[in-house]
Amino acid sequence: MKFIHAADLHLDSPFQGLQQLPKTLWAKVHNAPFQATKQLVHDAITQQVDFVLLVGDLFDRETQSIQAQTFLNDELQQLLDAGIQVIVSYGNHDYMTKDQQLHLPAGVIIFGPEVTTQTITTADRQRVAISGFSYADRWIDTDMVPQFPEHLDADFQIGMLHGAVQQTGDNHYAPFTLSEMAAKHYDYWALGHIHKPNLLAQQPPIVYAGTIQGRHKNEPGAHGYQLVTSAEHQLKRQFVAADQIRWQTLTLMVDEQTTDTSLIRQVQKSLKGLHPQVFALVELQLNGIEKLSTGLLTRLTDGTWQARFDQEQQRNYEHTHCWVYEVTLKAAQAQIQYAKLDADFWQQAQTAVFTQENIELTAGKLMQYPFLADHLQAPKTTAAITARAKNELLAQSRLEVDQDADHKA
Amino acid sequence: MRITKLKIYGFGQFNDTVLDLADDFQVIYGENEAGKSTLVAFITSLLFGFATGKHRYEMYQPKRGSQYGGEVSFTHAGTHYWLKRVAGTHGGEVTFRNIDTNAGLGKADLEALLQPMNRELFQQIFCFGERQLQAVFNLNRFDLVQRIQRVGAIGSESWIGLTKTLTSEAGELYKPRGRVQPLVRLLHEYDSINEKVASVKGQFQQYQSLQSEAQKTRLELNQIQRELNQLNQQINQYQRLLPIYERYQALNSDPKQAANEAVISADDWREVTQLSIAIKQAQSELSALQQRIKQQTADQEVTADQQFYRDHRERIDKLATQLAPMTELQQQQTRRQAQMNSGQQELAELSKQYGSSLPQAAVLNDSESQSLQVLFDQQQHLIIEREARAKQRQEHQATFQALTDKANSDAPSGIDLKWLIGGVAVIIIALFGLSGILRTVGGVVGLFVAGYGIFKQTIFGGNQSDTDSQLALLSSQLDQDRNQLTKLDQQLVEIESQITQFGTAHQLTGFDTADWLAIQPDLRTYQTLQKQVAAQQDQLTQDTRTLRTYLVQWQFAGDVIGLGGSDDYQLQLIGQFLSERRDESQRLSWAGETLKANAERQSMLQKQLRDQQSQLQQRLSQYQVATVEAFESRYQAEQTLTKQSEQRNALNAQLTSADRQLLRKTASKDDLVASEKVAQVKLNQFKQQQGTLLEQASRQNYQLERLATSDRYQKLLQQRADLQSEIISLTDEWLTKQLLIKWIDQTLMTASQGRQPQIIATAETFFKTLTGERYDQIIFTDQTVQVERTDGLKFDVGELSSGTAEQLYVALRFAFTKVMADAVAMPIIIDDAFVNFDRDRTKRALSMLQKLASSSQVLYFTANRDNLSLVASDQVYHLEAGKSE
Repeated sequence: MKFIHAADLHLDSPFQGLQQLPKTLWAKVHNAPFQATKQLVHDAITQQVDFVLLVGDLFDRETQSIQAQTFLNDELQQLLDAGIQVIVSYGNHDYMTKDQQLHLPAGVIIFGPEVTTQTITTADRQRVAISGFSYADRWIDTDMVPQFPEHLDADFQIGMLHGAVQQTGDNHYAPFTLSEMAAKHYDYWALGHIHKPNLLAQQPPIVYAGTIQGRHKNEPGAHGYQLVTSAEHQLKRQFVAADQIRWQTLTLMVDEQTTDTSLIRQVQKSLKGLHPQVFALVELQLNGIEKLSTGLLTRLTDGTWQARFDQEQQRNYEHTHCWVYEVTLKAAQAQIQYAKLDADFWQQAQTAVFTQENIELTAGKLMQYPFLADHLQAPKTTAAITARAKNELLAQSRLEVDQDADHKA
Repeated sequence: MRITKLKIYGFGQFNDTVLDLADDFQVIYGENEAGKSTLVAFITSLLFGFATGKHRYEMYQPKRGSQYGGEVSFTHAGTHYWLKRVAGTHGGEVTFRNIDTNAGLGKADLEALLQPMNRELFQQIFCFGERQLQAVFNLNRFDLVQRIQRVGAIGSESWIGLTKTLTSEAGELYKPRGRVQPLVRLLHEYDSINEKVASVKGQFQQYQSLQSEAQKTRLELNQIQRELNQLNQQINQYQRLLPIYERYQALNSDPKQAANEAVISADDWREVTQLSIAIKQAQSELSALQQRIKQQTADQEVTADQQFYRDHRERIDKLATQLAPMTELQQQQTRRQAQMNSGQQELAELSKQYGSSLPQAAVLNDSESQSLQVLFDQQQHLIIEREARAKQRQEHQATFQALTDKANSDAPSGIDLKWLIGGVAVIIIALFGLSGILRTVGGVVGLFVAGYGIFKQTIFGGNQSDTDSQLALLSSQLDQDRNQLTKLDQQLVEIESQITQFGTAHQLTGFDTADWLAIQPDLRTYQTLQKQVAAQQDQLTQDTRTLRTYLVQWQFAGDVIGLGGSDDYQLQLIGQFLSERRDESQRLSWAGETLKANAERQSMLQKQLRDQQSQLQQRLSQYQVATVEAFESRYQAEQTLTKQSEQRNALNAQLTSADRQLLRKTASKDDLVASEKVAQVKLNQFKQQQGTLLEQASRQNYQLERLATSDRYQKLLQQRADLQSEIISLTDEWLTKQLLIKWIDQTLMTASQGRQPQIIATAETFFKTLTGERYDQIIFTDQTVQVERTDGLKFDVGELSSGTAEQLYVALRFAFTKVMADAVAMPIIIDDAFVNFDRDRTKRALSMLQKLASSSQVLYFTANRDNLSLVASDQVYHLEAGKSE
């Protein structure tokens, strides 16, 4: 018995945090979720799996596109044509209502809003009972696990659940606890919803397959699906990468010797050293920027250096298989050019100024845009802006000193 | 810290210069270019290190090549120090000493002593230049208030400058009411892409409902297709059954085979047919055979000759054996006769050629011929020799005659005719053939030649005595010749007699002597021929006898054969007779054999015929028929029935049970035709419906396809996401600047407020001094700064005259420095800061500085001579222009 567990295809969700990519790279990125899905289908057919579990969020209702749907239908049809069963449960992004249903190919097994069980007989004559449910609304606040049946009279019992572990506070995504899952004595819990592949429990495996393709910097590392095979009466799982684009961070140290050109060379050398198996979208993080010359620091903070580097990597990225989409400067560690006598005042003022409220207040009208509001309200943003401000202060104050010195002369 | 002494080795324009400074208030006067700024730089450089190469103009390398650097002596916290700094790494080589304890200290000790001060901080807090204050004095009221409010922070002037830069930079990125800033533009773009997304998003609904419709159409089409299939099947059945309807009905009503009669099997039928044919053939062969036997019996008669042969067979056969040799003999005889005739003819010819003496002439053998030849040769030889002698003698005679004549003439003519004639000839040729000088020359040459001919003999001369001796010799030779000839003639006569003697001995005298040897072959031939002819004659006679004897033995059959004529002819007749007999015997023998074979065949055929007839009869009686014809007709009838039955079965096999049911049920062909028509009409109706549905389905599919193949929506989503990223990054940049401005401002405010009580306390005394006791209080509020006049009236900074506001700033600024100096005691250095103050104000400022000097050393650099009268002369140090150069 062999099957594939995947989730969160999010076929129609765009990539976040990218701008001004070269055209071919843009197309590659744009196609990545589709290619990843194709990879999964191809693997399923060559591996001759018995069935494929898709645990929710194949689409996003908010941005559902025809192209994505027809694409998925074609791919699922290929699986069915190869004699591979496809079992789908919908999640919070592709929840199904009575009036608006997805047209998946005939033969695909789709769970309804109640927990039900499907029994499949595999090629090696083993009976597999699969229980699951679909979201009928954006949220499911109740724990669904109690509705799952006890281990039935089958060789293997699998649970499909799109949701999140119960937390204190609001729980909108079919909250569950590991202990109640373990108590069902299933052979495998196929989870969806969390985009990072994650093993919550070893025996029986309670597994997040993760999204098949990371879509922003917060989804770094390899993504793919779980390939599960029976051995004796146990299920062995194996993560298989299917992603076409991978997000990662490259951290480099800079110092007094660093120049515009040497930094470009340093970055390119490090990129070459990455040898990524999958095309990498790289966030370049620079440490030690306080040691940089004022000029370079200014060009880094105002984006001039990045513009120059972009031209370089335009030429090379197909070769290095990497693209630096963002350069972040680690907040200056050393003294900014304010007197130690005033250090306390600077610190005090920083705490008072760099608050989320102040950011929102300053942003003013910009908060009308939901995506900007989301971004600006994130604590990460406050930290990032604080770091940036420090860097800029460093650059600006040093520039000031230099200008002053020059002026005096 | 109070600096007491400066010793400059070399720094800028200064070389080996020593300055002793007052430890409280020191005015240093120098005209422009006297080196005031250089001194300030020297002090900061000595304390905090030389400027690096990066700021070359601040290094003040000595112009004259003295050692770079110098010494400074100062007191700090009651202790005396001495500091020396010369060129070296990291800001110069430092020698640092505690004078009181005479302890050597290091660079680190100096830094620890100066903590937390550094060059920048020192310059920001303790150094005042004209520029710093001037900038403030040029500010507008609002900015001045801002400066005043923020005076309590270190470096607030430059920080405020930075916020201005940042504000303008932020303004270039985004303004809430702006139009052209990049962030504003991106947001507009975002709004428009959002609208597009919303409009394209609606397509999904359309796609879904289209999908449902298409699904419905597909179901309907399937239904119609099923109906159509059924109808088609029906029509097909009707069409299939129509042509066979009549045949089916006919076949199914045909009579059946009589069950009781035995059916003639195919094998039996074949046997009967073959038998009857065989019988017919046998009968016809028999009758032909009988005819032939009759003919052959007649052909058995024998001829009379054959009968005679049979009667005398032994005798004839015996003679016949000899016929071949006899015939051979006869032919040989003919050839021999011919040879003999030709021999006789040849003999007759030879006789005719040589005449009658031929038969007698003897044939010479080899030795005889040889002897004869020797005789002939000798004779010939002698004849030739004699002729030669005779000729020689004639010659001798002629010579003798000539010599005699010559001797007789004595004077011989001596003219050589050859030369004479040649010369004449030359003259003639010259006269007629040539002309001119050649003619003359030719004539002369001719004359010479002719002359030579005439006088030659005279020139060479002759000898008379020679001639006489020659004559004598010739005469003896002539005699000798005559004797010889005589001797030869005798020998010839002797030989001739010997030859004649030989001819007589061999009877050759009848022939010419010369032919004797030549006739020898013919003579030999003649004798041989004579012998041959005689031998042949004998043989011929003997053979003729043998032949005659053989022919006589045939005389008993002479009449039968018709013998007569030459031997040759008779032999031929006998041969012909014998050949005829052989042929006839052969023919008779063959005829006998054929007749016998035919008789055997006849009896065999007769038996076979009987067998076949009985066999046939048996078969016929088996089926109770009398004749073959009856049998045949019965068989054919049976066959027809079988075929019909088969056809019926075949037809039935083609038909399904439904077909058969329909055929049975349908009363007539017309009914069937009518049913088909009804089905056809229905079919057309369905087809029309199907067409409409297909059209609908293709339209729906086309629309679905069109919607599905457009990736515009996804692209828009990604574009929107990208745009969001861009907006976010720009927003972050803008916000960073905005917050940075706030941060700096907040820091300045906080710092100022933190130091407020001390600053205000000090500033109030300074302000009082500066304003000539007109104001005595400064009040900071959250919003603004107020001052209180001695009469108790309060003024907002904004309400003050600009001069007063400036004084307020100066008071606060120096108060700040004093506050800072209280924490970190450093000398206060003022470089013509009050250059724009009028004399009154400058005086008050200086008195403020005097106050300040009580807590910190004040070094006041000025180029304004007027200022010198405002301070005690011992407080002034004059920088001499000449000294510095």
